[in-house]
Amino acid sequence: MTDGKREDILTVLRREGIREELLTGVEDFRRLYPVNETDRERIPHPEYMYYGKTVWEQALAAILAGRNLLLAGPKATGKNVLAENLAAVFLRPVWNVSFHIGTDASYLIGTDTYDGSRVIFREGPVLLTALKGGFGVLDEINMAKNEALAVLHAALDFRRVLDVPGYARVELKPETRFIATMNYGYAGTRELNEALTSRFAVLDMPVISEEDLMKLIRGRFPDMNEKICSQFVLLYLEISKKAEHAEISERALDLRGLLDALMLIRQGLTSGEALDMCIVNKSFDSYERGLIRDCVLARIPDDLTKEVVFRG
Amino acid sequence: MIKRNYSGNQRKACNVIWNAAGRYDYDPPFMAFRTNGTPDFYFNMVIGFIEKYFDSGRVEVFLESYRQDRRADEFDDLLWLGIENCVYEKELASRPILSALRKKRGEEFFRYAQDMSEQQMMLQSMPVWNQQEARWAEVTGRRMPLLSGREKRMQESLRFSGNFGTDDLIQAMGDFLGTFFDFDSGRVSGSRLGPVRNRIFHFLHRGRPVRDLLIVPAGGTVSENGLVTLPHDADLRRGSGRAEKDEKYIRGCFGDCVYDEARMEMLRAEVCTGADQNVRLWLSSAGKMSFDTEPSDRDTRKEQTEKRDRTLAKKLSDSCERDIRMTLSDRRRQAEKNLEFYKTWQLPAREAVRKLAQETEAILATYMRHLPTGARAGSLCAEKAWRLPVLSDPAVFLKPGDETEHHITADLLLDASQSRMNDQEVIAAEAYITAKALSRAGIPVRVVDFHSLRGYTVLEILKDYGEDPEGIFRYFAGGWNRDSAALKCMRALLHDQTGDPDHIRLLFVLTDASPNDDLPIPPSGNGKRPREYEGAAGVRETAAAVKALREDGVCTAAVFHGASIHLENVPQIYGDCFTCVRRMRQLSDGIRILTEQMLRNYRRD
Repeated sequence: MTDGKREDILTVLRREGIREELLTGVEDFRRLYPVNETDRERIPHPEYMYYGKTVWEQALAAILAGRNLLLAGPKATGKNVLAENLAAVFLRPVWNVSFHIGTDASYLIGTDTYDGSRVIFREGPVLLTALKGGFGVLDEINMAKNEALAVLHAALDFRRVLDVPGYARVELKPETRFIATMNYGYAGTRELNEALTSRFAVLDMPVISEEDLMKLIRGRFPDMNEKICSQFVLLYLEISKKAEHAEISERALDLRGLLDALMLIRQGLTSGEALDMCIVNKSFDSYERGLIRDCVLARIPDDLTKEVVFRG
Repeated sequence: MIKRNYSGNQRKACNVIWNAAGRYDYDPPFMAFRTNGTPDFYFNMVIGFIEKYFDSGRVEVFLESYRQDRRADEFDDLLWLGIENCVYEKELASRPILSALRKKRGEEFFRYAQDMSEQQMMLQSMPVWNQQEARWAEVTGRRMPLLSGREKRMQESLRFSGNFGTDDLIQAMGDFLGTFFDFDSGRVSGSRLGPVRNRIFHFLHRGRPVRDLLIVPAGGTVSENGLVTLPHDADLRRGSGRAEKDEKYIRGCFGDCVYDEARMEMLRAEVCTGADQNVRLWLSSAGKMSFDTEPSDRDTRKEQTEKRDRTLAKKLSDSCERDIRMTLSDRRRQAEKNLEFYKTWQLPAREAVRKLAQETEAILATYMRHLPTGARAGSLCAEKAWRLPVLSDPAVFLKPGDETEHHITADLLLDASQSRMNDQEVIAAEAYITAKALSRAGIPVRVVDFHSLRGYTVLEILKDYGEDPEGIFRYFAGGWNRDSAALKCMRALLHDQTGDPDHIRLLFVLTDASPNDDLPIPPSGNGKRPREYEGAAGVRETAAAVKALREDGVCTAAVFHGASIHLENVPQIYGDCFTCVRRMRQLSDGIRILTEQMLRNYRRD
């Protein structure tokens, strides 16, 4: 997405060559399930576009077929960007749930609380998603205990219901979908059990390709010098390779960091300063920082200014 | 498994090379360093580009072909200038920063030249120096040095073109040496060079060769996959008359038994049954053991034992003392090697400890019971509900609190047989990392190694619960491994801890899953002859011991580290609770997965 007027994500997808029947399906979905005015503010306006034709087609097909999606893959593969993009393209309000080890059923469904005069039930994000027909983004789902996730089983399979103990049995609106993300490598993550995995269509997220990364950066910074942009892309891929071979940790493998660095250059910092802040210094080990810095030095000069990087 | 280890600067250089080459499975035959020992950034990139654009093996063979010539260093310096030009031209289009890096390298050359003393200058080979000066002057835009006609021709010849393929490059290098130095590289055939693949030589940094630590076998024969073939030494089979000598040897090498006779008797009753009935046991502590080879210093026995040994010593030949001295000396050397190896790996090891500790804490937080705490929202607590209308107290709800209850201990059992000889440093480091990380996560850890020698199955406690993990570096491999006896011993040791029903006992066995002992399995009811303790029989006995441990509630898992030929034994012995660790960096993931799996199974049970 550019800084200027945002174009409809559907238009971008059409330009990217996504199969027309899928896009027609999306348009039908939008018509069939209009959004309440009160929930309209929850429809995301993604800052970044996800690029990857195959992944897009798989994801759209799964959502149109009524399936929930599990986006699985290593760091910086655009799982959250895609989840947000999907909600935007289907025009659905989003409820985000960031999972952690303390996540329990009451956090997802809702809890009792006291409003000053009586005990009331406060709805959790999963219940709100079900009631409002939104997209529930279950971020880092494998951070939570499997026991906590068991409450979702009935909501995620053909029954499409949520049982709120002591209150009601809620049927999910037909347009409700859940998009979960999981990373294999993070500390504290665990394997999802079979029961839960079987309730999702699993999309193995590929590492972003050189071409798509170029599109992503150019989409965000259309005035960027093309040759310099390609060097930033190659730098990212080289850091990615270094992390893949465990020469460095994944801390520096940060796509957001790379884009942030470009933003800082636009703000007037030199390339060296910006990359230090947004990529190199993400590692807290001085030796590792040295390796990352060498990687940067082999691609990007220290002294690039915004006048050189951007056309103006 | 042959492992190559690099020091900090070497690894830094390798990273630059790998990055330039675009691949990380490349074992660079060259590395470039500055005179102060730091990596030469630009030339390491050049080395990486050789791999990227050429058949680096053939280039390496060529550069090795003149190694015996007294002018080899000069040839190196000159030819690298040619190679540099060639890869620079090739890479520049895809890496525009290269021109700036090249210029920077040129400036460094002149800074270095400025700092050189007159004596140093006199030691230089002038043809080489002039070529270097000419190259870098051209790159940095300085005034060119005065060159003779021959030197000018050399300079032109060293502009190897960016269009060269491997053949062209080798041809150009050969022509250069032939034209200007009358050296015929063709006289040295490739076949006579032999395998030079793993030789590392350096350039730009004379007199300080790049040190490459290759873990090679200290004994036995070693195959490519690191499998050690042990000689089945008949001398290791003991006669009954050697019992005293054997005990002396074991005591001398491993120190006193930490159990008194009565407890040892109970241990024997529990362990020395079935296939292990003829096994003798020894349980020692490495922390109480000195590697001093002088008997007077080493001897810490009780008075009674001393008397007995003095009597025995008269009967025994000096060879026993010699054996003990040699073993202790080997042990001391190995402990030093283990520590040295760990120090080289300190950075990744520290990262592995941190990662594993963090992951273990997360697992514990997940699997351990969270004590409920009062809150203003959560599950309504029926017993407290009256407080809401009567006292207007809203804290009548319960939510999971931060405090958890658990009592977990972990034991690491390390196979220390001779088949581990090639990997001693790695295993010690792996055990150290695991112990340190689990301890940091609040789990007390004990580390025990085992081997079978002279009919004894010796368990040596390298680190007890609550002790510092440094004792783990005393890990030493030798002898056989009677896994079933060792596991039965562990069962007995862990059995002593029962009492707290909530106590979770984790046992990680670092193993090559190849039980092997020279003490045969005695004939059972139907068997007429004793069977060798090896192969399927060894696996069967070990699997039974693991089963007994699990029946006792000990969560048992294997960390397999060995030749793939024995991999199929692992599920037979340990079921699905195992992980394979081929490289040290896989260890933390392996331990994490196993810990999680064991706790999950424990909860399910």
